[in-house]
Amino acid sequence: MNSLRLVAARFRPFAPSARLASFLGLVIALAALASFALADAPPTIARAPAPHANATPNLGLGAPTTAPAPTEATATALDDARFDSDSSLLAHADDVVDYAMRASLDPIKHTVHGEGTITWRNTSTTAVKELWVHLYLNAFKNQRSVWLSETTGGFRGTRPVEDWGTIDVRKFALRDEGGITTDLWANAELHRPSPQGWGEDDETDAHVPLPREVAPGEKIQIDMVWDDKMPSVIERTGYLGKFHMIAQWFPKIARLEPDGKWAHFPFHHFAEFYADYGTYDVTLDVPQGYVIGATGPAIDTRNEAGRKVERHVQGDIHDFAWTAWDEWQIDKDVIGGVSVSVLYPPSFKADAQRELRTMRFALPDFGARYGRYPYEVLTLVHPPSRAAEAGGMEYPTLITTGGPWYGPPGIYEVEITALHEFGHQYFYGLIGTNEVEWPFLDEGLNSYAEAVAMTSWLGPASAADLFGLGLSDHTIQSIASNATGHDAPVAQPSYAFQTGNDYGGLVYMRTATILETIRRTYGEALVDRALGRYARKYRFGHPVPEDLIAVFHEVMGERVAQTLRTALFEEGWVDYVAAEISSARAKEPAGIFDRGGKRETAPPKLTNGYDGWALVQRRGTLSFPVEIDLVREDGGKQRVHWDGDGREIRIPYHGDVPLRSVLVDPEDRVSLDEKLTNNFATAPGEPHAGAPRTFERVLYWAELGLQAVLP
Amino acid sequence: MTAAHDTSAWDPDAMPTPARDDQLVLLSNESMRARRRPRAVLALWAWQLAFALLIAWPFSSAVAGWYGAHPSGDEPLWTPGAHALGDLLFIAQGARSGLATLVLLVFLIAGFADLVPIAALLASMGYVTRDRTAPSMRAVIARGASVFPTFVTLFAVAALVEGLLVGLALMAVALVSNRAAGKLGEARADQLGWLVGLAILSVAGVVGVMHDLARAASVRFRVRTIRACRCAVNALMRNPMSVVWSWAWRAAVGWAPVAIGGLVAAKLGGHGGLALFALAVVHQLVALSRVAFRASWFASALRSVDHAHRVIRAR
Repeated sequence: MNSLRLVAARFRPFAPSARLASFLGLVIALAALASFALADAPPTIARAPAPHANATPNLGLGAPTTAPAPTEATATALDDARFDSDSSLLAHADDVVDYAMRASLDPIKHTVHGEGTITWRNTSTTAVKELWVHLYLNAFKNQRSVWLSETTGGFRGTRPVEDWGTIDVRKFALRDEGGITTDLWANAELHRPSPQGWGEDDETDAHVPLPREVAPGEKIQIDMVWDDKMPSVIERTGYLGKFHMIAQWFPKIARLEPDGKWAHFPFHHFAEFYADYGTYDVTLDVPQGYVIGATGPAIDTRNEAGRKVERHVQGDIHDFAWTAWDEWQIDKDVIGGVSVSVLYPPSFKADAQRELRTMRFALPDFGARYGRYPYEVLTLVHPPSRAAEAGGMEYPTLITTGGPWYGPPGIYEVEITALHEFGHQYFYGLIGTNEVEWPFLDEGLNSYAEAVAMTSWLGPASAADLFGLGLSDHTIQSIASNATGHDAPVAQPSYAFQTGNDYGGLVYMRTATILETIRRTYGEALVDRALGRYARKYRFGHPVPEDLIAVFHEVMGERVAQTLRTALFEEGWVDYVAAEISSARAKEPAGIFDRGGKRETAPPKLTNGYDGWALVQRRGTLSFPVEIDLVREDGGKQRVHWDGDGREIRIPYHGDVPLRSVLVDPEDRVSLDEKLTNNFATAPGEPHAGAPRTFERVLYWAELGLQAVLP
Repeated sequence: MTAAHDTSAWDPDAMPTPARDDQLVLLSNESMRARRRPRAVLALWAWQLAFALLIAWPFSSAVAGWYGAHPSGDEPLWTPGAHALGDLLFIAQGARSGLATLVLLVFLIAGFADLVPIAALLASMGYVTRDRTAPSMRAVIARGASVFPTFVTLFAVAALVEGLLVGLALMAVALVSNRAAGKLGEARADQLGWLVGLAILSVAGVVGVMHDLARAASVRFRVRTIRACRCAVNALMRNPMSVVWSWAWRAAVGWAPVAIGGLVAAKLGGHGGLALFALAVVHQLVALSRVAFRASWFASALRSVDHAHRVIRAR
């Protein structure tokens, strides 16, 4: 989900047109958000192995790789500097689970009938005797589900469910060699006590005992039949009239970690997803006249008994989503060899063109920074405004965007949404982190990547450019970050966040602001290299936070790594303060002096020049190197570098003219600085500059306002 | 009607002895032009500028309290990216509600206080001294003050009707847009909704035109609310398209200087010194030009009610 839509979502009480309101208004309201503290203990960090470097390419259905599971040894054997370019990029993922499915949509009843086969391989080091299957459409079955009963607000998915959604498994059977099938669903547990207190009535996380152990490296096949009843549009999925966005729609096996523990979760309100890579071969069956958008390329389209049947096959992915509507319009382009399609409602062509323009920038830009985009296709789905909950979401090779058809050109909501969701092709799609446990690894890193890309593309006014008032994406992130910085740690599971404001402010905005501050203070090239190396090294992998920090340690050193740890796990913060400043005519020392055997009394005596000092303090648990400007009365400046170590620095001054002011971080590098209004001070007796620009602007705006409303 | 409504009123030479309180006589129809009263236009601009100062001064003082000690003053607030501005708005949460209250208060007071200078502007454009010079400021203000009760009544009625129509338009937009979305698609449904809303708002615009015509009649003929409204209806019905167009083109063209001001701000914004001075000059010229367009419309309203009245009397 993108950060801009996140910000806009907070202002829904002010009517949909709020999205078109001035971004300044958004910042004002955003800044007003007060958050409540969260006191969960910092989670422990587990180090996940890097992806296996020798994974066998496999795009074909039913022929999963038999490569061994990734190990710590293979990860450490890698020469990480190789990942500074695409030369060592993995061509394909380790194929763990393949889905061959056929789905038939009834757009009148809003149902999907599905049949298919899962081929799953035990990639852990231990034998397993159970499966965990996610049935996330049941999150919308009733108000006893974890998703609907979690008392959270301020984020997406706050509208009531108008029509419930369900997924009912009709068959889930193990097929052994010789065609012998064993029904597994009879013993499946949908309801069970949860040690975390998540509720027994939830039906989104099913435990399926196996009749026998599955040894490490062994493959099994499961035949399944199921029926979906789509909900009204809610939280990324559902229908509105004949529009259908179909996501989290099939029984999906949770990921088995290398140590043999299942990473399975009920569908939480703030959480997204986590799964293994594999190949999806999905045949979709919809009424004639419907247009399909789906993950992966369509390799076959035909008519069958008056219905449209389309087969999509894509390897190296970990989810599959699709949409069908009889009103979709399509614009296409080929960008860097990738076939890009935009599906949009009638009369949304302008938005579609803006999104294509964004992709023309994003595909090469992200490719250069984080490794080439490996798929043949990319589909952008711009849902109708009344189904906006389906927008702003990412799936492999398919993203949903958003924005009104009348969006003004100076406000880049459409561009930011499209670019953010495209960024998830990397930070979610190609780097398959656990979005439930570590949401900052996808949303946070991607929000940073989004803002960097937007600035690279559009300059400092990267979020809005309204008649000289330019607002940057970084600014939105920084303000929201500081509004929630003390509420809870950034790096914690999605279900640990108590409010949507905290989730959005910390996971998206603060992560991005932390990285932006490191980029500005330590250098853009270094951070680009670190994040690029991380993205390439863990392509098709499942890294954890310590893997990210380790890469930053490799590239930028221990100080930056420690800064990341503190900022992410310990609510790290910083505030630089220009505490005091003094300037006066220089004087020779006065008093009684014993010189040459004589006692002399020296009277106060002025000498040439001026003496002074400035005291700069650092508050908080983070430190960054900063520049400090001593500004003289004649406008001249003397720049001092402070490495940020220690709590304070006193900078002496001597010059021909009085010292007028001190300014900390004059180039605004420390985006995490909690308070910019204490970054400067003027010596007593020196004139203040006032606020003439504010006076002029407000005067003019007040005149226009008065003229507009006066009778 | 008072003596000032004699049918000979549009011929200054044929005017009866005017009331002794102001020594003003009616100006002939075609002579009522805003460009002939530049001082009155400037005075209205200055009046509005004064109210704007009541807002700008506390605002900038508050900002100077935070950023006055910055070596570049408030320059960081207006640099592209707006990080410092966003940070300030977050820090100044406490002050925001106070400043918002101030703005509302100033707008409310200005709403009523502005009625006198508008009436004075109308009087300035509609009257002349016996020696054919522009009336004095004191005389037109006195004339403006005399119609204040009528202006307040007209303002209240017009605001009520226009407010209802705006509310109705908003409801109609939502209703039509939602109802038609299924059949027409969202964009077309929105466009249809806006069209319906615009039609209702255009009625509100006509109410605004009648409001101005009634005020012009009130000043021109020194009549009270009911008769002023009748004059306005007569003027509008006599040539509705011409009258409405006369208002509409000025209202529309009046936004052109704002756009120009915006473009200039985009170029010069954030700088100090001469650039800031130049921007201030441009912005004030924009504000002044909009006052001039408004005054030009008022002059047209005066001519319309005057002409309608003459035709009716001639019958």
